[in-house]
Order: sequence, then structure tokens, then C-alpha cells
Amino acid sequence: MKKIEYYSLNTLTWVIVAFVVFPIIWMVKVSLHKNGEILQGITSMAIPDPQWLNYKNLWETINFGQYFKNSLLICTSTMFISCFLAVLAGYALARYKFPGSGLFGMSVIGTQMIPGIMFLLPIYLLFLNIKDTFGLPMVDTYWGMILVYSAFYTPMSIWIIRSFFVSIPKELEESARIDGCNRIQAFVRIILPLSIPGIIAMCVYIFLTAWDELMFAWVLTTTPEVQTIPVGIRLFVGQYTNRYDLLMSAATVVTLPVIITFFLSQKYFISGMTAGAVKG
Amino acid sequence: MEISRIPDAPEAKQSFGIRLKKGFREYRIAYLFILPTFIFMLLVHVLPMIQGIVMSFLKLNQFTLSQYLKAPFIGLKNYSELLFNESNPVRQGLGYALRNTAIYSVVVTISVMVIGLLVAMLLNRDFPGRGIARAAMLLPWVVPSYVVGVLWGFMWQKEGIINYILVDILHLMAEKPFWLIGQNTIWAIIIPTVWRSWPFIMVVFLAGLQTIPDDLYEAAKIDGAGRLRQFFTITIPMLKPIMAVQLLFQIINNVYSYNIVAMMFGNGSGYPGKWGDLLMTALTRQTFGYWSFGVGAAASFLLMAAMLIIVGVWYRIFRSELRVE
Amino acid sequence: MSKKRISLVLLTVIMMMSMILSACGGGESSKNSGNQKSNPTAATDNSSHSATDAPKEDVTLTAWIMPNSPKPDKDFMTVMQPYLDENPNVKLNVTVLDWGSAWTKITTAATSGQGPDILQLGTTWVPAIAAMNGIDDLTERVNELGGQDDYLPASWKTTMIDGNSEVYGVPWFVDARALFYRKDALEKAGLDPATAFKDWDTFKQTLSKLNGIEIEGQKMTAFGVPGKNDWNVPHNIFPWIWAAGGNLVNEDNTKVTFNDKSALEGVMYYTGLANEGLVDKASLEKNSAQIESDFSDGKTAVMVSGAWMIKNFATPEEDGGVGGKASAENYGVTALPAGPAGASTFIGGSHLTIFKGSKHKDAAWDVIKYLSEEEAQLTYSQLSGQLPGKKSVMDSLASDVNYKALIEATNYGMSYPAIPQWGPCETALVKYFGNIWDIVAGVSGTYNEESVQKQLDDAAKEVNAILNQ
Repeated sequence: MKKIEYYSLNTLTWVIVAFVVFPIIWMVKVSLHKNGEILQGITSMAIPDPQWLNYKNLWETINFGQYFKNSLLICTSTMFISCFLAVLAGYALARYKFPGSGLFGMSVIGTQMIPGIMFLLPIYLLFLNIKDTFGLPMVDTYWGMILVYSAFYTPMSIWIIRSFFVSIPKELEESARIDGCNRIQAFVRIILPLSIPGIIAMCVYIFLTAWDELMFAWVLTTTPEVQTIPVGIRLFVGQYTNRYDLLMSAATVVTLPVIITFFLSQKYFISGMTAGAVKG
Repeated sequence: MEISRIPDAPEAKQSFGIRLKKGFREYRIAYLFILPTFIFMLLVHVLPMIQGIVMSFLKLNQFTLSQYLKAPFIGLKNYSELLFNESNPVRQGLGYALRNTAIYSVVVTISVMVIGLLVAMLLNRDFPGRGIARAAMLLPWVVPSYVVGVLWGFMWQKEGIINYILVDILHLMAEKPFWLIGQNTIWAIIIPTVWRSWPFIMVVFLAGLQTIPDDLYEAAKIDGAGRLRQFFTITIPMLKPIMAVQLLFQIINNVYSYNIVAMMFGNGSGYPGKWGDLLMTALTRQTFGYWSFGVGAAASFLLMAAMLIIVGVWYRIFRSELRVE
Repeated sequence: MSKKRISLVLLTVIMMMSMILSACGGGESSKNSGNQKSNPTAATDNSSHSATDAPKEDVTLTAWIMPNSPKPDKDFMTVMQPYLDENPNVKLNVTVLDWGSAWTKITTAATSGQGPDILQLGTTWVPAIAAMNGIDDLTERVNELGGQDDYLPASWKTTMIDGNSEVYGVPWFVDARALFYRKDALEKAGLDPATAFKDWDTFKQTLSKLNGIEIEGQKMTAFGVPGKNDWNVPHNIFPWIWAAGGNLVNEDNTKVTFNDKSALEGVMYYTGLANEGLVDKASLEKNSAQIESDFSDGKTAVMVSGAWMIKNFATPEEDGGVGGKASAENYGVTALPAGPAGASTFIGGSHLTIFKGSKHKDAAWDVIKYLSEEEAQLTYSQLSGQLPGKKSVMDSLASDVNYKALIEATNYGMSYPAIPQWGPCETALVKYFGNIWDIVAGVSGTYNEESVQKQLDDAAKEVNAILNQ
């Protein structure tokens, strides 16, 4: 009886895995077909004539490498900045009940409630204003994008890392203080090393979310030197062009590196989420 | 987690200034730590949001946009247009978008939570290949949502793979249905969203499950509680704080969902149809398609207000859970 | 335990970085090679270009274009290369916007004054952006090009705002639609292409005869029609409304008329083809690209398309074309059938404009002037598969029988009224025509005159509100 249950649950698990992974495999498969075949709809699992050239052409048809580089640069920088800010603020929120901490914690959540469309135009015009006033170009610059993304993803990161810090016993710091560390030393020497899984989980989260952003990238970037993948990938298909084959191979190229990085860091990710999620 | 006001400590009776001064000295490091985030939020969230609210009181269209905040002030007219003027073009179709967003958010949120929890329980057992199964299940979450939109757009075609599986292999339906036009559209956007969002919830629940001490279940077993009773008396209550937080973020994410729908239909320029339009796609189209920036801002503000009410209700319901620290 | 893992993660990141950087290098080198093989005739004939107007000092110009051709930025630079070679002090940066987000981007750019120097605008967008004060008045300059007489009337009309005489753009290329049909299918059905598509009655008869016809063992549906998931929803329907004697608005653009009796007749005729089984209903969820693919794969015998399709048939499959297929050898092009009020087709395309905020307007104009020269027009037309904007260049293409049919079709081409509010109007039309397609597909209510009329009335109400704003 127990055995039957065990094996049927195992089977169920793998069936779910198959369902979940299938669309991704499908994407890779479709990317190896000809444009015409994709437009006609593909229903068989066979790839009669694998179009490996798609993976070469996608870099040549549009300057996809540049978009890829921009995305990587912007998202990685965002990841580091957001991570830095979130660790500091998250620690402050987790350890100190200072006047205004409740309000600050609330406004951190509150930022998530502003619909993007509401401040899309204001940010754009604010950026132009900064340029007019300080002579510092913001629209269509790396730092402009990084600033916006960092600000976007810091609140959620604070939330993730804060609960992680909460889960680390206070006594550890207190004993460090007794040993003669000051607050910052205790934080850097004791708490940070213990938080590595949580920080990695948070970084993965930031990177993936930034990698995904569409609307602000459309408006705040104007040249291929700064535009990110979601802007570039749409050039494969449009009113007068329809390279669905290249679109699908580009989609694969965009997804695979993230999957690989994720696979290598997933142990941290899961354990980081584990520790962090305990306290919600 | 806690969303609580400053506790009513004795020094609360002191004047605000003194408290602030004292607090500042004592918590200098904390203030220092939140300062950069505070500045960022001020610059990128608060300032633009205030401008957005101001915009909603202005007559802001293609002719006045270049004046921006100096555009003519028209008070609450944008709001009254939106709420009471049935012939205003910006208003057209918002009803459908509202209905779709409601269905979409509710269905996605519930599905994601239920599937996430059930699969987390499946994965919380010991079986060969558990690590691989876990990682594999997390994959959809890594796929960028603009790719999800494009990819599923292909899969939903009438002669596409999904209909092929449903009709030609499983014979679940007699005829191949349309997914990308008509009423089914809502499913064509719900299912990919669920597919992409449940893995994250699963991991969080899995993490939560692992913190439930085994002795609780042992004790329940001794008391003669069956599986179902254990689930409802131990698992659910223990996971409630996590659920509460995830529920909130799910609601926010789904109500503000944009990417998948935008990429699935007409490459972002098209109209997803009466059953596919969400508030975000509709508002974007109305704002930039009709150049009614003022009315668009008013609509966004109303949406934000509605969101605040939802969050308020959420907070009232789960307040007790959130106090657990 | 953790150090090994971290180093692994770092290693992948580094590997990814190097992969990407090398990919970038590859992209750039291919770009250069693309530039080098620029059209030699264009280079030599470039002497006709008056060098006196060219800027003497160093300028860097920015151009925003849409993906008009298979390799949008490279094809554009190929056309520009002779000019840039002759004027080494001019640098040109090109950004390709996708049609979907272009509208948002151009709107924000126009209002803020921060944008490119040269801007490609869809014909229907010119009045709107002009009214926003986003692009420069070119009235004084266009005389240098020969002006109105050199361009198609339907195209030229859209460079101005209706009722005004200021010119804001120069037609760059023209998008005109015509019928594409399979000669072999017609032959098998015993039909003469010269008469088969003459008017609506014969067109319907032809389609019924073609429906289900088998060519090389493959059964064909008569007509391929995209539905609401398309970029061209209004452009697909309006030719039939015009042919029925309907129009979008009345003479002075004050009142909407596309819900009147003749317009309804046009819509009913076109959608009726789908309702009567002459169109595979599965095609109603497809976009133009998929319809074109159905046609080239021999699944449909007739479709409506434009000049780019002729290029597609001539491009081998490896380069994303459909050359080599049976359809590529056996297709013909002819005008859309004449309705009760005569023949009609949709004329769109794009104009070149100078952005108001540009600091190098003279230099930008010089580039536009160059792009309007016959050689540049021809080269870009060949690269992009679009019909050139200039009439003389268009006529020179007419030696090809397929182009000829398409170019003849432009004679009765129609376009939408050139009004600043067109953008929102189109947004509204996309919505309600989309609903009509849902009805035709049988997924929303029953298809009859009343249900279609109701959608048209609703659309008219909304468009009226936009016009009266």
C-alpha cells in the first residue's frame, strides 16, 4: 500500500516535470525550424532539417550582440547596486526599530503598488529635466537605466533579505560585540558571511526581474548602444519583417544563459529562499 | 514579517523633536543604512508618482504635453470623464479590461498558490532525483516573460501543438478550438502566466514546509489524525504567514501584469480582444494610443487607490499572522 | 562547501561574458562587410547630387527608422554609404524602432524635443506628429525635389494636414496592396486571370471555383484573410469599404460615415467571404505573415499582399524568403476586384521627416534629399522590397509584370484622411474591427448584418468622440 503510494506520487512528480519543461524544449525545437515551417504551425516532435544557421543569422540580421551586451551590463550593475542597497536597508529594518522604521517598511511595500504606466512619463520627463538642469544626460544612458532598475528592484530585495536577517539569531552579533567588534564590524564579519545564500537568492531574483523589464526600456532608451534585449528582440518580427525562426532562436539564446547560471546557483537560491521565507 | 507602527514606548510622551533627535543619535547607523535607498525611492518612486498625480488634474494631451506640468489645470474633470462620461474614448473597453483583470488575477493567484503548495508537498518527500526535479520545475520562472508571450502565442495557434495534443492525441475535444481569438483568449493568457509564476511560489512553500518540525506531525499521528486533518490543522496554519505575503505579491503582480499579453498579441501593437485585454495593456494603449495622458494618469491613480484598498483588506485579514515575529 | 560553488558561478558568468563579447565582434565585422558591398551604380551616379548643400563642418546625424527590410539598419546604411563616402564629415547613427513601441517613443520624443534628426513616420502618423509640433515644416524645401508631381497623389496627400498647405514629409516608400493569385490553380479551374478578378461578382465566383482545388495533391482554400491579430486590421478592411462607395468620414472630416449603408455592404462582402467558407476560418487568428506563408506553401490560392511579397518570392529560403517553392514560380499579381463604386486599394508607406528638435536640420535635409534621389530610391526599394516613393523610380520597376500590376493598382489607391486625430481613430478601429472578426470566426455572437452594424455604430460613436475632442 505504502509502496504503491510512493511510486505513484513519484510518477506524478515526473509527469509534472514533463509538463513544466515541455514548453522550454518546444522553444528550442522550434528555433531549429525554417521560418515557413514555424508560420505553418509545427505539431511533430521531429526536426527534419535542423536549421543551425538560425543561431548564426540572428546575430547578423540585427545587431543582437549589442542588445545582449547592454542587457547583461545593465542587469548585472543593477544586481550589484540593488543588492548593496537592500543589504544595508534590510539589515537596518531587521535589527533596529528606529523612529520611522515602520513607515519606511511600509513605503517599501508601497512602492510596489504604483502602476508602472503612472510614472513612466514622469520619469522620462524628469530625466530630461535633469539633463537640462545639471547637464547630465539620463535618457538613453546606461546609468539612467541602472538607476531606474536599481530603484525598482531594491524594495522587493529589501523584503527578501530582511526576513533572512531576521532569521539569523541576534545573539551572534551580541557575542561579537562583547568580543570587541563594533556594530559595523559585527555586521560585516558575522552576519554577512552567514547571509551568502540569502544574498545569492536575492541577486538571482534581481537579475531575473531586471532581465524581464519591457516598458521602461522602450521609452528610456533610444539607441542600439543602450537598448536591451526586450527592445531588440521585437525587431525580428513586425509589419514588414517576419523572421519567426530568428525570433525563436533569439528567445532560446536569451533564456539558456539564465538557465545555466540559475542551475549553478540554484542550491543557494533554494536554501536562501528557505531561510528567508521562514519569517515571511 | 511585521508592518507595525512605532511601538508606544515611554518616550512617546516626549515631544516629537526630542524623540527624533534622540532616536537619530541612537539609530544613526540604521538611518545611514536606509539613506541611499531612501534617496533612490524619493527620486524614482515618490517624485514621479507625485507628478503622476498632478498630471491627473491637468488637461494633458498631444497638444499640451510639451508644457507638461504647466498644462491647463482642470480639477477633477479627468476623473469625472473617466467615471461618468460614457462616450469618452479612453473609457471604452476599460470595462472589459477590468473584468478580464479580475478573472485573470483571481484565477492565476489561486492556481499558483494551490499548485505551488501541492507540488511543494510532493517535492518535500524523499525520492530519487529530487534535486533534478526541483530544479527542472523552477525553469519556467527563469524564462523571460516576453519570451513566454511569444512562445505560447505559437503553441496556442489553431493548428499548433496544444490543439494537436488536446484533439489529435488525447481526443479531449471534437474540434480544434480557437485560443487566440474569442472567449478562450482569457485562458490563453492565464495558463502561461500560471506556468511561469507557480515555480517561485513552490520554492517558497517548499522552504516553509521544511521549517515545520516533524514532531508536530508525529504528535498528530499519535492523536489519530489522518492525512487530511494533518494538512488542515498543521500544514496550512504553519504556512499561513508565508501564504499571506505571497498572496499579496501575487495580487500586485497579476493586477499589474503586462508583458505576456503585450507580447502574445499583434506583437504588442495589436488589440488582445474583448477577452484578452488587461488593465495594463488597456491603460497603455489608451494613454499612448489616444494621447489622453491626463485621463490615463487619472485612471492609473484610481487603479492605485483600488490597489491600496485591496492591500488594506489583505492587511486586516492577515494582520494577526504578520505579527508573528 | 561553498567556495567551489561560487567559483563555478563566477566561471559561468565569465564564460557568458566572453561569449557575448565575441558575438558582438562578429556582428560588427559583418556590418562592415555589408557596407562595403554597397551599390556601385549608386556610387557613380551620386555625382548628380549637388554637393554644395552638403554640410561642410563635422556633423553626427541620428535617424530613426522602422524595420522596413530584412536587415533594417544594415540595409539603410548600405543605401547611405555612397553619401557618407562623399561627405566624410557626416556621421550617421541609425536606430531601428519596432512598430509596436515606436508610437510611444515618437510621442514622448516629439513632446520633449529630444529625438533624432531624421525620422521615418508611417503615412498616417505624419499629421499627428506635425500637429504636436514634433516635426519641421518642409514646405520651402520640398520644391528642391520637384514636389508634388513626382509622387503618388494618395501618398503626397498624407505629407500634409488636411485643409492646410504645409508639407511635413517626403514620401520614402509606398505600401500598396494588390491580389496575389496562383496561376496554376486558375488554369486548372479554367479561369482567365484577366477576367477572373474583375469585380465583386466574378471575384466571388472565381473563389468558389478555386475553393478546394488540388494542386500537386494539396487541397487549397480559395482565399487567405488575416483576422484581428494583425498589424493591418483597418488596412485590410478599408479597401472593401471604399470599393463599396463608403468612406471613413465625410468631405470636411467632421462626421464619421463608415457605419453607413455602403460601408456596411463592403464589410459584409469581405467578411462574408469568410462566412461562406471561401476562407479557412483558422486563418482568422493569423497575422499577415502567416497568411503570406499559407499562400507560398500552396494552402491558399488568393491573398492580398504588397510589394515585399514579390521580393520574398525572389529570396531563397536560407535568407528567410520563400523562393524555390511552387508558388514562387506560379504566382500572379492583379488589382483588387472593383466593387459597386469602382476599384480601390490601400496606400500607405512611410515618409521621411525632420525632427523639430534637431540641431542639424540642413544636414538632415541633405540626407533626405539624397534618399529621394532615384538611385537611392531604387537601391532601398531593391533591398527592402518596398515600392519606391518617387513615381519615376516606381515606373522604372514596371518592366516586371508583377510590379506592373501592383503599380497600376496604385492609380486608384486610397488613404485615410490626413487628420491629426488619426492615431486614436486607428486605435479605435483596430478594436471594433477586431470584434467583427471575432463574430465572423463564430466565437462571439452570431454573424449577421445587425451584429456587424452594431460594431460599426459603436466604432463610429467612438471615432466621432475623438474627432470632436
